[in-house]
Formats: sequence, C-alpha cells, structure tokens
Amino acid sequence: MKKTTVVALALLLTMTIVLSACNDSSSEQGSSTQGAESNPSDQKPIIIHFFRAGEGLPAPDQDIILPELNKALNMDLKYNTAPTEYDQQLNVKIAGGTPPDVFGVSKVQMEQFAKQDLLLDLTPYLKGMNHLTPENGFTETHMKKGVVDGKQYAIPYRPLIPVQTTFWVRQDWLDKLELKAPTTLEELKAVAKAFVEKDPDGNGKPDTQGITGNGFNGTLSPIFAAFGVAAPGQMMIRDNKVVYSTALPETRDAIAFIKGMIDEKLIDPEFLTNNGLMHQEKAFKGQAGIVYAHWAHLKRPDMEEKMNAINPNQKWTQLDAMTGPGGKYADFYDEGGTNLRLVIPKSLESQPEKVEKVLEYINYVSGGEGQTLVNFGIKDRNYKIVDGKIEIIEETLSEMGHASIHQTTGRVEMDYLNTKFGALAPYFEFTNKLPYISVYTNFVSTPEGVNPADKTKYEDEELVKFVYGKRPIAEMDDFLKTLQDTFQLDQYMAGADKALKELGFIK
Amino acid sequence: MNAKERLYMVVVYAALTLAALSVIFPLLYVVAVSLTPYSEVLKNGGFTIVPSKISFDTYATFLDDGKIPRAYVITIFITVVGTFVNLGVTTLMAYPLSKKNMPFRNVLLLLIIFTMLFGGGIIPTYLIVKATGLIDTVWAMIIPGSVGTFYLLIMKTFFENMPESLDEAAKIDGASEIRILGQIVLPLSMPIMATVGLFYSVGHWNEFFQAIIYISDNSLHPLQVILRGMLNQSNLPELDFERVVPTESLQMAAVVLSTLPIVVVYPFIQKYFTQGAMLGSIKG
Repeated sequence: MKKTTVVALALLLTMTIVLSACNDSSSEQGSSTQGAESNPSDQKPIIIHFFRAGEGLPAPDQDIILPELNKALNMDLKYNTAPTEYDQQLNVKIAGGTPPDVFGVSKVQMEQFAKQDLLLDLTPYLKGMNHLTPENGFTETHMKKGVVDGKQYAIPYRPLIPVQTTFWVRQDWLDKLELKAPTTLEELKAVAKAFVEKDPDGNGKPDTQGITGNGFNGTLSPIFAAFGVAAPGQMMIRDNKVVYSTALPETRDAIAFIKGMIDEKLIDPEFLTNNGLMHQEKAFKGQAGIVYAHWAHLKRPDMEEKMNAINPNQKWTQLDAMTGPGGKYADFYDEGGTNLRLVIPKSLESQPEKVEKVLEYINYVSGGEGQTLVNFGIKDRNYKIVDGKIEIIEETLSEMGHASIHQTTGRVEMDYLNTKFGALAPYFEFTNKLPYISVYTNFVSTPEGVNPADKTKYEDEELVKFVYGKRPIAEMDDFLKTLQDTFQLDQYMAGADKALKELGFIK
Repeated sequence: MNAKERLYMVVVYAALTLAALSVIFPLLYVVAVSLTPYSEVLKNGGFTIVPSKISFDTYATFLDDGKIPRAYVITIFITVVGTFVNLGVTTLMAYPLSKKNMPFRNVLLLLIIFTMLFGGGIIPTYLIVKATGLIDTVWAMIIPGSVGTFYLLIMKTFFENMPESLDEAAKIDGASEIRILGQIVLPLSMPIMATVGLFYSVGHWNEFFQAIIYISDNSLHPLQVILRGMLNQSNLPELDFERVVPTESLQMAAVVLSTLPIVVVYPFIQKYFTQGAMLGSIKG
C-alpha cells in the first residue's frame, strides 16, 4: 500500500515538471513557426489584442462591424475594453510580460512608458500609412500629440469640434415671465434671478433654480470665458508668452461674479457633484431653467422622447455665447487634447507581421472604406449612396449604436455629424462657429519630480472655497503663492514655455 | 415591575424596527426604481419608494442585451464548479492536517498561517497564473483561489473535533483512509460543508478583482464586472455623445438581477450558517 502511494506521488511530480517544460517549449515552437510562414495566400488570420478603457462591444452576434473588419484585413481582432480600473489592468499586463498588441494610453502614461522604453517608435512606419493625411484630420499639429522626445510613439484620436456645449434656456418660462433670451452675463444673471424668484412653473412653490451644469468646469467655464479667460488650471498663450489661467487678473473678476451668483442662490447647489446626465435630468424635471449642456443631450431623438415623457410642454432654446467684460467667448478648447493615444508595445518588434497588421488596421479605420464602415456601417444595409452622398437607412440605425467604439482613431467630425445627425445640423453648425479661447495644456508635460495630482487637488479645493466665499477673494495672492512655492508652479511654467517653443506655438 | 418591563420592551422593539427599516429602505428604493419607467421616476423628483407605474421594461432590456445572459452563465458556472473545486480541495487538505499523527503537520500549518499574513502581491501572482496558462480562461477565477486559508482552518478544527473512536473503529474493520473520509467523515460534515460552501459561493458570485486582472476577453467577464461597468457609465458622456447612457432604472434592475439569486438561496441555507459559524471555534 505505502509503496504504491509513494510511486504514484513520484510519478505525479515528474509529470508536472515534464508538462510545465513541455508547455514552454511548445509555445516557443509556435512563435518560431509563425515567423517562418510568410506566404500570404495561405496565412491564417492574425490575432490582434486590442485593449482600451471604456464600454465594451456588444455580443458578437449583435456586432455587424467586427466581422467585416476581420474579413477585410485577414485578422482576428480581440477588442477588449475595461469599463473600470483600466490603468491597473494595463499595468498588470505590462508588468506580467503580456502587453496587449495595441492599447490606449493617456498623455502621462505615454511619456512614462516611452521613458521606460516600453513603446515602439512608429516614425519609420508612418509613411506606409496612407490614410493619416491632413484631409482626414491628421494635421501636423494633431500628430504632435503623440510625440515624445521627437519620436512618434502614438497615433492620437482625432478631435471633435471645439465647442459642443452651450447654455440652453427654458423658452416657455421666458415667455411666461415675458423675458428675452440673455446675451450678456448680466442678462444671464437677471434671467436666473427671475427663474428663482418669480415661480416660472406656476406651482406656487419656490422649487426652481437658475443655472445647472456638470461639475465645476461644466457649469462655470462659459462664465470664465466671457471674462476672457479659460477656466482655472489651463495654459494659455498671451502676447507670445505662456500664462496660467488661474493667475490672470480676469480670473479673479470672474470668481467674484460667480460668487455673487452663488450668494444669490442662482446656481444649483449640487452643481459640483453633478455628473453623467444629472444636469440634463434636472433641466427636464423642471428644477432648473438654464442648463449648460451638449447639443446631443437636448436634441437627440431619444433625449427628446425622454424630455417629452416627463413634461411635453417644455421648450428649450440654444443660447449664443455670453458677452462679458472679456468679450464674447463660448468656452475654452484644449488644442493639445485627444481622447485616446494608441500605442504599440516595443516587445511586439519580434513579431513584425503583427506590427504590420496593427498599423494596417489603424490605417484602415482612419480613412477610405474602413472609415466609412466604422462610421456608417455596411453599404445598402445601413446606408446608401444617393447622388454621391451617403444617406443613412433609418431602419437599421440601431445596429450602429456601438459604432463609436469601432472608430478607433475617431473621424472627420463635421462630415460625420452632418451625415448621421443631419436633422440636428442647426445646433452643431451653430456651436461649431462659436468663438472660443485656445489653451495648450495637453501639449505640456509634467516636470520631473512633480506630482500633478497634488496640485490639481489643492487648486480645485481652494477654487471651490473662493467661489463659495469660504475664503475671501483678497487671499487669492496667497493662494497663487502657495501654488508656486509648495506645488512648483514655476517649474510647470518653465516646462510649458519649453514645450510650446519646441512645438512652434511661441516664437 | 410590569410597567417597567413593558416600557423596556417597547423601547427595544422601537430600536429594532428603526434598524430594520433603515436596512429595508434602500432595498425597497432599488426595487422600486427598477420597476418604474425612468421618466416617471424623474417626474416624481427622482425618488420613489412605492412605484407609481410598474413596468418590467428594464428587465426585458437586460435580458435582451447579449452581455448580461452571457455574464450570468459565466457567474453561475464559476459559482457552481468553483464551489465544488473549493470544497474538494479544502477538504482534501483539511482532513490530513487534522490528524495529529501526520508527519510535518506543524511545518505545514506554520506555512499556511504564514500565507495568511504575507502575500506575494499582484504581479508575482499574475506571473504564476500566466505561467500555468490560465490567463483569459474561466479557470483563472476558480483555481488560483481554490483554498481559502481561513476556511481551511475552520474545517480542520471541525475534523479534529470528530471523535477518534470513529476512526479507530473503521480502521479495525479494514477501511482505507480514503474510504473513511468518503463514507464516514463526509456524511457527518454536512454542516461545515454547507457553511464553508456558502462562504465560497458568495465569494465566487461577487468575483470582480480576479476577473479584471486575469481576464481581458470581454466575453468571459462575470456579472459583477458588467454591473460595475454599467454603474460607472457616468464618465464623460460629452466625449462620446452617441452612447445611450443607462438610466437609473436600468442600473437598479442590474443590481436586482445580480443579487436576486443569493437573496433567494440564503434563507434555505441560513440554519447551517448560524450553526456553522460557531463550529470552527468551540472545541470538545
């Protein structure tokens, strides 16, 4: 009895050791044979692992775009997303030695990984990607967003139109109180005051607020803009020099004005914690009369349905940019901002056919028929060509709900909007023409040894205190001094100066 | 005395009722919001306890969307199979360790307790799971965590408390160790199996962290990952304005669907739970 158990155990042990050795060698053999096979005609589809943050694709049987992509490029795209904790998962994958074949990074991550030599330099491959043209949105300035130390490490996602969010006002309330739509900051304040005090919904209860929005920037940014500055925390260029928006004198005036509005209770008390669509819902519910919202969130057909289901008598009018002491500006826009930076890990160099396939995929969805596929779907199923222009087939529109996930590098925004949301053209054509303040914050890297999160946290907290009057505005000089001394604002500005000179924004 | 006692009882009952209400209230809210169409919820100011209009639309939307049933299947699989694997492995480890005459017993126990205090960390564990080829498979959520040291120790104590005379009697009759375990010890251990099994099952049902670390394939994500993704939807709808952001009703329906099975099963196992919680602690 005992002897057999000992023998059995010994066998088990040896088997495990042999199996583990076997596993290793077979995987090595696998990759070497893949390299040897370069005959394109009988090549199996190349498996590409793509990883980014965000919503995932629908189940395979409901995704009509993916099979087309795989067919056209002879690949098997494993499109994986992380709805939460993306950074943690990415770090584990990279540290564990199995980075995805192509993945998305933020600016900070891109710089970090480039320094650690984890990213593949894409500069030599760019000339082979024929769709990355300025006509398709890949201008020289745009491509700079993926450059670290002069090398192109990332392909950046193309920008949306600069301004998409504006103030909207409840027209039926304006009519009831016989007011006109506001065009200046003072008028905006007066209308908000009327909404709060004069019971525009006629129910006898003081339950109406003036202005609501999504968070600090999502509510107050247009007010700063009307004073001629970007919201606090941004790098602007004035007189060929980099300036920090928080330090400008106009910011002080804007904060005083906002404080005045908050003191008179004209702004939704919960505006700082609103997120998602909470501001839109408060507006639809009749809780606020002025909302700072994206045109799609007010005018998209399903949003209009939502609005009418709650109260069919409400009407919303889109407002022009407010004119204030600084001029007429709708909002600020970060010229260096991008939603996504696509990178390839350096370790993929050992599999050149994979690198080629990844770049072929990125190129495919950046222009030509690939772009049309991820934008609008399959010909004669989701769209048809009428007089040389694309017309969406309404019946199958629901199949394309996840299309934006497949638009890996984005799209040419105005054309896309005009084709897909043609009926709403008045709204986005309008916002597209609004004047805005350019900022360059995302072109600037964090200096060595500085932690941006601390500075941002401190700045955000103090600004809230100033705006709510918990700290007198006279102390703003002290606040700026703390930013410089404790949070090394000078180093940021020096870094910004250098970066923007290199990029040619300052002479 | 009677009046005083009665007053005492009233106070106690009032406190208990308050505590019960404070727990039931959020659950009622979740269920109510999941059953009310979202526009109704908003009309009532965003707060409903008793639904004004009942509609199962949200549940229908869920079960239609391909992702949820798929995640459900994954979660049920890892809960059922996982719990079996867990119980199997834990029993096979606890039983020998409960025999005082097992060689190296103390060394092994020391090693096990050592792992309760010190862990390797995420990256080394990931490397091991990768080396065993479990990455991106369902087994990554079952095998790496098959033995919970705490439950192992509870089981060991339980086995230690079983009378030695049973063991000796069986040996005299000529039974092998395996046979004793299977035919004598196991039937008597139903309470501990139920308790530890329940702990493991709930752990598997709530599987989140292991899933996101080891599995990148979206089709293998269990229920809790999908749920978290849904509840986290609020980020930046402006940047991706085409997305249909799930309404609160939909999110609440997701919460209900994720917790319903556990809530339904729990009352039946509860008697084992209260028995079993004490089992690992009292000796003799």
